[in-house]
Amino acid sequence: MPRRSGSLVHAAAHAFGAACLLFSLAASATGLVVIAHPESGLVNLSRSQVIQYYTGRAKSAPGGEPVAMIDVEPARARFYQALLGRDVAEIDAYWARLKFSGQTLPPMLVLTDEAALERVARQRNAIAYINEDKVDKRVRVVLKLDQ
Amino acid sequence: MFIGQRMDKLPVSLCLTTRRRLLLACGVLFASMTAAVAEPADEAAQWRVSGFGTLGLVYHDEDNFRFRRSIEQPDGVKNGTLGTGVDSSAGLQIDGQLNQDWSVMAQGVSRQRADGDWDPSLTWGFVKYAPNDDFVLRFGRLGMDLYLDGDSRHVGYTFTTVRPAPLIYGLIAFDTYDGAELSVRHDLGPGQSWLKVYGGRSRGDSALLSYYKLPRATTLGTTYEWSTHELMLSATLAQIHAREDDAFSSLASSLRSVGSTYGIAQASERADDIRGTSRIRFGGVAASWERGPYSLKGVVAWLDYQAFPDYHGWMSDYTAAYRIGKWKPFVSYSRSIIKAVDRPLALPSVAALAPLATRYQQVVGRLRDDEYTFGLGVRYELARNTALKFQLDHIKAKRSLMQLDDDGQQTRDSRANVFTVTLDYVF
Repeated sequence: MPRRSGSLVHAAAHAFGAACLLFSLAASATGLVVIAHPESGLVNLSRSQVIQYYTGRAKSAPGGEPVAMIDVEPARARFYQALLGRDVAEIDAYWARLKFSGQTLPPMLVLTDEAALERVARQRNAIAYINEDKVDKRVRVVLKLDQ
Repeated sequence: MFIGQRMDKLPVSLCLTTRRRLLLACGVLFASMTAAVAEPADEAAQWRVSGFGTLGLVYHDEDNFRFRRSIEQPDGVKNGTLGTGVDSSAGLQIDGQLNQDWSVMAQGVSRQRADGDWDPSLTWGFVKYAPNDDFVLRFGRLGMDLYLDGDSRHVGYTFTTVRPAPLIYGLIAFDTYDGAELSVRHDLGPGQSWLKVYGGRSRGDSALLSYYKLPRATTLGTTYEWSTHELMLSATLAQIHAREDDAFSSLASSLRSVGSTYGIAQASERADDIRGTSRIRFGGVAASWERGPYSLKGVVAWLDYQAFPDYHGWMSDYTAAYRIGKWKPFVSYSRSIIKAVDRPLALPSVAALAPLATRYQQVVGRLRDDEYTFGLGVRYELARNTALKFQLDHIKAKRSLMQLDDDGQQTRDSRANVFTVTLDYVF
């Protein structure tokens, strides 16, 4: 009986672990969205516009105001894969080419979704990308990316 | 931009200096690994410090062959030794955003230079005015826009291979200038086009056979590029013109003297052929396509070098790569042919004239080239902003202006397999 009860505990632990894994996978599979300040004037961005910004090919909004791009570490690899279909290492090399030839600097990097939210909430010309379930009323979603 | 001329000999002793610089590069690498994950303090920060570097090892076992990366390097790697100075470098950059329209940038790079030293040199140092996305003006120390993968060949991390287009960019020595550059953008179809014009005072030196410092010269160039985020097409034209270049004035004097002393009209004619000016013209087209795991790149370039005895040639390079997770295997092929205008000189078989005959043959043959390089390798993303590369190059040269023999002369009829390992990083 004690051995049987031990097996049940093991089984329960495995089931709990599997559930946690599934939960975390589900959480990480949440869609990514591009966010902007609610008063930035940016309402909707097309996919190609976001590509222009996040490849350094455009730095201004349609009205001419500068746009500050923010990279968000946890979702960075998923973002560039979803946006450009490219591995994030390729993106790093690409930005290094631009930076070290004095053409343009890469987006500023923040380490958490919350940091991205805070930055966009307080900087009117900033755009960033975060998991969709992290969006709150401080920011506006301007593009939802397909996974 | 390209090439060198003077035949003065240069003593080279690099070992201790190389080790010191490698230690410096290692220190920068470890500092960078801690800095790479740091979050910027605040969006109000106007200055950014960044850097890059490469730690490289080169090995081959070919007798009477010394491997060089470019004609800026005074000596090559001997057979059976590990060469640490060929690909190793370290660079530091400071960017400052003065206001919305104005910014400044300065970049210094320490690497093996043509004079054998490793002292850092200023590769970029400019003020930039960009009032909108369509107009950029830069002035100061700038680099010629000759490179497919960005305007610098010193940042190994940015390239898939260890050395980008070795038979094209390995010939480049005078690619910086002090002047101005204007770029204008225009949307064209699904992509953007950039027209760039630039000019100024040329800078640089080389070690083709020995040290040569470019005399006062003018750089002029233009580049047109059309690109989407996957496809890039570009064409470039550039020239460097030195109105006073006395690199071979002593040779001309010797030929003239021999011509009159021995009554050799051909020697006098050759002396008259040696002009006191030089002009390098370079043109090229390039294409690159990158989608998902695929990368394809190609460059075809031509060279017209108007300096005694005058040279014409073309070069090409092709690279294909495929990314599999952190691994990126690649193959590359480079080919170059540069021919000299025929300027024969028949001197009598007199012992006193032998040194002149040898020197003449060195001068007229210094840029002749007929070789190819086939490369095979893999790039591995070791960590964020750090890549490890393994590469095998098979070089076959009927005549090479880049590679040397054990006497320090350009190699002929040689084959070599060159193994390279590099660690490239940016921060």
